[in-house]
Amino acid sequence: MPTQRQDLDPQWAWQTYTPDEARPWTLKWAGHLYRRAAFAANWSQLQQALKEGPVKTVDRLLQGSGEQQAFAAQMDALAASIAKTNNATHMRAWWLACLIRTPHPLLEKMTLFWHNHFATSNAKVNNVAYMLQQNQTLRRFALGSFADMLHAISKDPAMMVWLDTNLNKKGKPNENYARELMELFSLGIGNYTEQDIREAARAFTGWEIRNGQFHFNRAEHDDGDKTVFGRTGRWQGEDVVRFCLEHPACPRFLARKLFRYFVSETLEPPAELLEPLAQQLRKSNYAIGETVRMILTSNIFYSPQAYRGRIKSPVEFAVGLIRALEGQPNAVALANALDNIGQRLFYPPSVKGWDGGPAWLNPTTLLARNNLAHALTSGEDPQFGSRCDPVRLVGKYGRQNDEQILDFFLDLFLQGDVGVESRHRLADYLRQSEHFRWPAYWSEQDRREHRIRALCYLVLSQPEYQLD
Amino acid sequence: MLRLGRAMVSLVAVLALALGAQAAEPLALVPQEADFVIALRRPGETVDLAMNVLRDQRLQALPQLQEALEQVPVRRFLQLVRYAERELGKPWRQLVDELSGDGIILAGKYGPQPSPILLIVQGRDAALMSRAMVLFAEVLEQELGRRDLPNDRRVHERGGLKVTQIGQAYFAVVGKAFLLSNRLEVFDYVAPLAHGQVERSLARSAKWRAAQGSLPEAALVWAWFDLRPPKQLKEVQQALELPGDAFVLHLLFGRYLDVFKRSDFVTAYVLADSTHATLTIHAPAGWNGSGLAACAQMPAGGKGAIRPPLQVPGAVYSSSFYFDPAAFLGQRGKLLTDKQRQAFEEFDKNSAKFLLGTRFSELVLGLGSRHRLVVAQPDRKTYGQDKPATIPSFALVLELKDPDRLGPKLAAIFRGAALLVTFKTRLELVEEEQGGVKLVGYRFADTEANRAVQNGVLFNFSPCFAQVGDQLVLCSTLSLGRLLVAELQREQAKPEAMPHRLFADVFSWEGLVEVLRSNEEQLVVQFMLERVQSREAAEKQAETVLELFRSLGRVELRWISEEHHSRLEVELKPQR
Repeated sequence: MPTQRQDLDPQWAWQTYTPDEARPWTLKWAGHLYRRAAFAANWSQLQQALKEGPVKTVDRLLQGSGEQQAFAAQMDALAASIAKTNNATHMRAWWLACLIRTPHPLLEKMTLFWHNHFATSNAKVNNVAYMLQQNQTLRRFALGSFADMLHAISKDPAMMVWLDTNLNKKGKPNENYARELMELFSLGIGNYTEQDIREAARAFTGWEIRNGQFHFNRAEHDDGDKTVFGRTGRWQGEDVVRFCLEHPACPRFLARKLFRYFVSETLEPPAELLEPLAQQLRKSNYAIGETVRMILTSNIFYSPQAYRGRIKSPVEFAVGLIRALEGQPNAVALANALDNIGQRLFYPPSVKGWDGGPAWLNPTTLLARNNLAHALTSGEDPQFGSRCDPVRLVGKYGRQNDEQILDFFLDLFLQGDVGVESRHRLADYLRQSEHFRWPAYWSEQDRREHRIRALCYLVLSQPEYQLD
Repeated sequence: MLRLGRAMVSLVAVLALALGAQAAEPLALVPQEADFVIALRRPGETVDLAMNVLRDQRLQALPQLQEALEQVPVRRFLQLVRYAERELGKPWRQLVDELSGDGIILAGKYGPQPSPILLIVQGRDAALMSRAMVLFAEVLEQELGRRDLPNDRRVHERGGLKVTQIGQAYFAVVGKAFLLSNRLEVFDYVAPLAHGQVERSLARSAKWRAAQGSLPEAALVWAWFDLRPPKQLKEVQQALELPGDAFVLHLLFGRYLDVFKRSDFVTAYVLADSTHATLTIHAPAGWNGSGLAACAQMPAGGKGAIRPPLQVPGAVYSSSFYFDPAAFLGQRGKLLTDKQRQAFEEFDKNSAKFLLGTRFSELVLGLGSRHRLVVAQPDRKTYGQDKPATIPSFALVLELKDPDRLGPKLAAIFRGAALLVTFKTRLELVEEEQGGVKLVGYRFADTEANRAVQNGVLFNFSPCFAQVGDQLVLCSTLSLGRLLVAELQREQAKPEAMPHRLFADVFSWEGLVEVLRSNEEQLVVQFMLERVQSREAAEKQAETVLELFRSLGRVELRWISEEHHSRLEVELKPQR
């Protein structure tokens, strides 16, 4: 077994994980990979991953399935309809439907990552078409080039409204975009000066929206000399974006964010640990897919420091649960339910995005998560009905007796990652419920189905299930 | 001794059953202390009507209904029904008749929670009812048990009645009736009635007798509410006080407040058959004796009649109502406090500055009392096909007392207001002549700025106005404006009135279908997202829903004010 020190050794950390006797490829690691890269695995996916091993599974997750193109076409058409009607609830439901049904979950997981990175809220933008256009831009570059994405997002109409680029005029520069470009999107605090921001803001003057698209208005552009990061010239916005990408802090900044998203949000990685990841970004000209592959196949990703080192966001919690159950719930109802748990897609609380980590959980949100799990799995909620039915799943995979069913749920949702005491308690429920005085009008099948649904809910209510 | 005691209790119980058996009318078991009663007179008939609705093929075609019927609680309910059939040995429909054939009543008192509630289910077979109660107790006990709620069974004796308690539910069988309450004390009041002391029942009380006459025998469902207790509340008395802080409430809802103030009770009932249903709400106060609160909304001496609601193609909602703002203004000395009156006088004095020299009060005093409101989705051609209308058109048609004097003044004010708007956005003036009437309208210019406002929401509007005789039309679109001018011209040729009505509203489901059609894409997307289905399936579903809505026909509302009573009628008229 590797020691903690070994895990933090940069060379060892980023080497490709090769299963061996000391660190075998088990259901635990297959589940871990799927949680981080695809929200969660269903039972077939877990079995396939076990058979194929980590590298092949990561390849498959990066490629997505062949159905992706048809799925994207279908969802794009639906997005176009929603854009026309400007219905924000439908917009949120649409993305949830994408997250739940996508044949390329890693692409959606990364789109969600970029949504939080380039956090833009419809509360200010107030234009569904712009928000959907941004979402599609994020998806297009999600596993592609960060450099291209940063250029594209700078001219994205939703972002231009959100950070007032469209109000940035010659003589009256607005610094909002220039500041966030450096602070939150590419470099981080401490890598630029206030003077850099003021000068960069002048470079973005004359950037406007016309007919729903980016438009450069030469008349409103400040064409004078500007000095940004010590470089002087008649720079335009594109030049400032390029300078940010060329800045040595940029790959380090991005590497840290990707580390937090995929590896651990509790471990504060030292600079030397992140350096190989930053180098990968630099040498690949910010190829995100390759960097994500490096993370998902690395030793550190399959280390105790990474395991359950994150708290699931509400979207990860709900989408993971539904994907594992192979459910197809009402996406509009789900969008509304998620509002109560603290994550409203397309409405991040600020330009910094959601705080994440422990901030996701408090007694109220935990209760709301459990209530949502109950609503989805009990078959008794009028909005969700039986579209995520644990009974159907147990039947599909041929689990018959109580022990098989308990093992199935524990393996599916927690990959057996539950304490002995908790397992006993769950088994006790099954034993005791055999002797409950059930209503006399219930059939044998009612009693069995109720016990299966109740057990599924109890497993989903385990504290471990909140961890990613 | 113990044996004797048991025998006595049994004797009392048997006597109670025998005595209770005489009371076939469930109201006889409602204590006179009750503040409200809601009754289902013929449950069997109601169930048949509901089943007929559910059997409708259009409803059956809805996947939502199919899914709802497959849900766990629905499946369990159906199992419970089958279980009851098995245990009681009769088909469910027969059980409905034999266990509740003489009606179901819910009675209660207002007050802090948990305020007492009593449910009475009046059957036709005492032995069957006793067996049903045993079954009910068993199921309740098991249901509470599986939900981990207290389900201990206790038996109480209350005035000779054997009352069973399970959890927070108290119940007993009295003859052919099953009684269920949330409070044990309720049975202290029920017991004498069960023993034949019917003079203490609500059915014999003066307050009930006053209301009884307003409830027709044929009513399927009826309700009675005693209005005296809420009127004793300080907050309610304050709200009803004039002059007082709630003058806006009186301006808008004066007729209802006045009727409420003068009525001791209100009753409601539903008359229904397979072709239509009417809900009537009745109060024992009419135009005779109406008070200050109703001065703007009820004509003095019962005189005055509204005009018929305007019917134009694509109408969703059309309302005709009596509202005399001049009367309110005339009584402002009594209706408003000194402070309110001063504020109004100040506003009125300054209003001439922005109303081109005319005071607000002058405009109000020039208005008549019979006005109309229309919401419709007519065909619109004002803007291009690329700007479909998603918001329905709406119009207010006001009656003018002195049209020749007030009409031109109002026209000048509207033109001035439009001029002010042009400083903010580009508007184009449109003037049309229609049978000698000038329709003055404004179109939003097709500019980048106008297109940018909320995804082109401005193109749902082309505000306009016109004067047809003593009728002033203020309308959100030229399309509806043209239809209304034509309709008013037709009406002038053959005027009609609706006496005793203070308002008459017509809601058309067909009109709503037209509104939904203009937003059909939203409906289709909603169904696609809700049910994870293809566009084709969602379009088919949308079509089914719209067809179902269309079949609902019309809903008509009218407020009728007679000399000594008022009633609100809501009539559902489905399409044949």
